[in-house]
Amino acid sequence: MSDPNNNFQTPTNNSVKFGTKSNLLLWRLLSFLIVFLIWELAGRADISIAFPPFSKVAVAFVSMIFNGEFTAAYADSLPPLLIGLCITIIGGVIIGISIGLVRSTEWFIMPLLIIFQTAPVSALIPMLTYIYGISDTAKVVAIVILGMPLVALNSYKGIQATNPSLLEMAKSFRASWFDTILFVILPSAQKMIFAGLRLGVSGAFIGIVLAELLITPTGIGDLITYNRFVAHYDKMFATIISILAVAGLTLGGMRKLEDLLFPSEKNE
Amino acid sequence: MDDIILKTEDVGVIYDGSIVALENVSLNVPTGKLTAILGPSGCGKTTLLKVIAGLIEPSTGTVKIRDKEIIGPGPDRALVFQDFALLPWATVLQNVAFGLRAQGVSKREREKTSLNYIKEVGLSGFEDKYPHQLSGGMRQRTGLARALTVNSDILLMDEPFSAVDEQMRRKLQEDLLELLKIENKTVIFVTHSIEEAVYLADQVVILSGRPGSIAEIVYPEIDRLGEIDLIRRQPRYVELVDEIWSSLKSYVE
Ligand SMILES: Nc1ncnc2c1ncn2[C@@H]1O[C@H](COP(=O)(O)OP(=O)(O)O)[C@@H](O)[C@H]1O
Ligand SMILES: [Mg+2]
Repeated sequence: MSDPNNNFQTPTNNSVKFGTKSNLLLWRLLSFLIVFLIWELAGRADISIAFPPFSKVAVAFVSMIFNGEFTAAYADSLPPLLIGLCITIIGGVIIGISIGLVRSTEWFIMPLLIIFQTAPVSALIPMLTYIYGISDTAKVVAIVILGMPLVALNSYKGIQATNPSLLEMAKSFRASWFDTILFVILPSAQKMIFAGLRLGVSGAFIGIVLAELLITPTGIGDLITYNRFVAHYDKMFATIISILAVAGLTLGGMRKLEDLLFPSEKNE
Repeated sequence: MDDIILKTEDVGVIYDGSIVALENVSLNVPTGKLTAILGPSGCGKTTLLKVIAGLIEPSTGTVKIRDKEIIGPGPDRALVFQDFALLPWATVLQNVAFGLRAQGVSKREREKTSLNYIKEVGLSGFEDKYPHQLSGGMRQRTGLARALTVNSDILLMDEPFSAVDEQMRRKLQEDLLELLKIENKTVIFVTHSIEEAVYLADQVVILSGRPGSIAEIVYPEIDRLGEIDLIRRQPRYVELVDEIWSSLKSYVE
């Protein structure tokens, strides 16, 4: 392309490139391999009976996929997780953007959000039993409590961080409130909002596992508790790995989606 | 006497109830001329320009355009920003078209107009670049094109060239003068550079600091009809720069 500005650039731009796509994948796989190898060695060293080597866990993982144990557990855990995630994401973004845009709501909602974000909220989870009993509702509430404040707070911060000079520019061209939000505020908050979504989704996964460990012994949480109880530590670890994998894939998918929707080249 | 398009009457601005940024600013801006507002930094130049733009409501006094008091920003004024105020996620074309989009002009129309002004400010070929891919000078050309699209009579510029290097600044100043020969605009141009004010302006309004008020108004009466690069050699130019400096000196202590 004819870009007179680029004529004098140093060659660093086009020279050695670290981290091209296939390279990156290779490094990631390698890091996993190293962790698994250390795990295998540590497990064989007989540190504790409760710490099986990686190979046993891997075998248990595969068998649990095919014998229906994972299917049954995830059939219990996924519906409340999905409902909770929807509420967390939609509710969190709407609340965050609203308090960011309408200053009068700020003093009312912000303290609550900050308390929810900083207090050890997981301590509240056992209390949910008293209110919602042993139910999916309790799980959903646990997810929302742990996830939504993060989403709302980040969305709010993103909105607040909008460059005042850009707002002034929009005002000087007499852009409507709607146009200003759509073309100035939301695009500038987009990165923060997505970062908040990722944090919120992590929180949601913590919420569902905690709820199932602490109050509602069903699904994944129950599978962990049960296998520990009967000393099937390989299965216990396999279950933990499965939920980490699901969470990891979800977060990775969200990153992909964000890159797809908002190519980062535009956001320097 | 020249035809007056805009006047400020006794404009005063007090920030936060106590910081007096402007006091008793009464100013006449003649139609089709370039008025420079000159003064040391912090003396209230931006404040005055924002009052004229309708972005700040003055604590006292009024701004009138063609004898009608302004309320807020209007289609008769367009602003060029010191920090460019470009949307980082939008291309040059999208940025230039922002003002027209805000006015609800159709995509086809606004792109046609925008491309025209992109060409006029010398940015052809860069329509699809993002601001971070442009030099400072090109960013300000984008900001200038955006202000031109809305076809306002008055162009307000807040130290538009202060964020670019000296060579680029000179080029931009020359290009602005060339452009103003084609576009019939009234320009209010804020600067802290005496040379820039004398070079560009038909009327130089000197503000003294704290609180900002008009200290003096100078009319350069420099011949700009001929070659633009000869302006800096005119004896009148050199003389005026000296004269303004000696009167400004007292405020810069
Ligand atoms: N939003 C604001 N709130 C309080 N004080 C301000 C604000 N904007 C500017 N000021 C003060 O008003 C004075 C004039 O500022 P400004 O108009 O930006 O000056 P200039 O553009 O000439 O450098 C300065 O002392 C500045 O600190
Ligand atoms: Mg200023």
